[in-house]
Amino acid sequence: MSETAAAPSGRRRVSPGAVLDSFFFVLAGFASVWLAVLLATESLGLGWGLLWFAVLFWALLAYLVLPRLHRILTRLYVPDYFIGRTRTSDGLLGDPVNLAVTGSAEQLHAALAAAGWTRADDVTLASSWRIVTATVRRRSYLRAPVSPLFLFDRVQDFAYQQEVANNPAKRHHVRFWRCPDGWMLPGGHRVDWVAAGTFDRAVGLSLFTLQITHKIDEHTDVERDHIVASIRRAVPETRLVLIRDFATGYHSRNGGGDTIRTDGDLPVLDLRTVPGEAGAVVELTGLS
Amino acid sequence: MTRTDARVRVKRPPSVLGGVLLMGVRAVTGGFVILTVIVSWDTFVATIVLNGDRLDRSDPHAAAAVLGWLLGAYGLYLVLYLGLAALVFTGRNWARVVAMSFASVSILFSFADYALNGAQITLRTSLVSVTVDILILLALSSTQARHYARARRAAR
Repeated sequence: MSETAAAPSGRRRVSPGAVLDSFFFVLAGFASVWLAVLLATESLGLGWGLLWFAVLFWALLAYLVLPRLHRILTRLYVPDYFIGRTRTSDGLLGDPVNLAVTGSAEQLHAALAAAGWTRADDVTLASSWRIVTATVRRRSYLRAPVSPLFLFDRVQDFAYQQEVANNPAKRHHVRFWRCPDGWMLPGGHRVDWVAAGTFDRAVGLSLFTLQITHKIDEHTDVERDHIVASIRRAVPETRLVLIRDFATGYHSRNGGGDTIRTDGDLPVLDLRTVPGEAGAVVELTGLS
Repeated sequence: MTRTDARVRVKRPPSVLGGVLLMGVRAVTGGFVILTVIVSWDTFVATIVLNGDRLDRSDPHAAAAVLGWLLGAYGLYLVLYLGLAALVFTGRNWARVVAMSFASVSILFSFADYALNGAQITLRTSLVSVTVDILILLALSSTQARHYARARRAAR
């Protein structure tokens, strides 16, 4: 509630600095499009130089021009309140929120570690460099960082992953966000964490920005159920509340343009457990 | 909140670092222009024209003085520009706005020349400098750079 109330009032108060910032933001967007046109025109006059120019052109388009255009447009028309979807740093709709957790941060970290999940490093210059060297030398990087996704207007608090047979292109991974104080899921369920778990199946190009990225498996429910099962196996006391049809089942695309299909169920893992007591499974269904 | 707290909390984003480096590139290329002029001084003195006559023929000292003044002014501008880059690096919001304004004005002039006069912008003419200006504007207008400058201002 506090979150939804704060957002509109902050937007109505417009300071001259913010207007100036928006002006430069949009001007830079247009200027980058012009730059792309200039580079394309220039490349027509090049013979063999065309090859490296094409790479330069792609880098400009994928990492500067398209993200900026997406940011300008998504700020206008993508909703900023909770709709069960995360957003990419360009504002596009990202992976679906398909898991929730009740419990403290310590309980969550302990349960994930027990279930064989490795915490991902934050994205820094050092960890980015390690990804490059690990890929080139074909070494595994267990704690490889995951890309930032946004919920509640901020990047994930942390992410966990599981490697697949020493293949850096494939991995299980799940991102967690702490919910704002007093915040409730649609339907009035109170949880402490929400999470988005997907399976990276390959490395490829994003459909919307042309950036190099992981492509996710479209059956996100399989990954969700894998996360739940792994935690319940490792910590049998975990109670499971399964909210049936939390969202309507849907087909869609994430921020990289990969298809998603889900039945819309939302499992809530309750880690505030009583030791020695097997956790119950509670199923919540709607009227019908 | 104390200054040290803020310094620990607010990390400088790559976009600010990139923008400042590009501003450095711009200043260094300006320095090369000055060096080029000094190396072939006589050729450039001969290009100074007053009322349709070459000034170095009637008054060689005055022609040299004019060129010296122009170079000095440009050099001062470059030094101030480097100072501006340093202030952007430390997270001054006004410095970021001024740097973005410089880049914008330069881009808009180039664009007007391109759109209205049909100026050719290629590698041999001004493509590199226009590219650097646009990249500076993109980097410093990014959300990360804005948040960084705002957070530093709030901390001060």
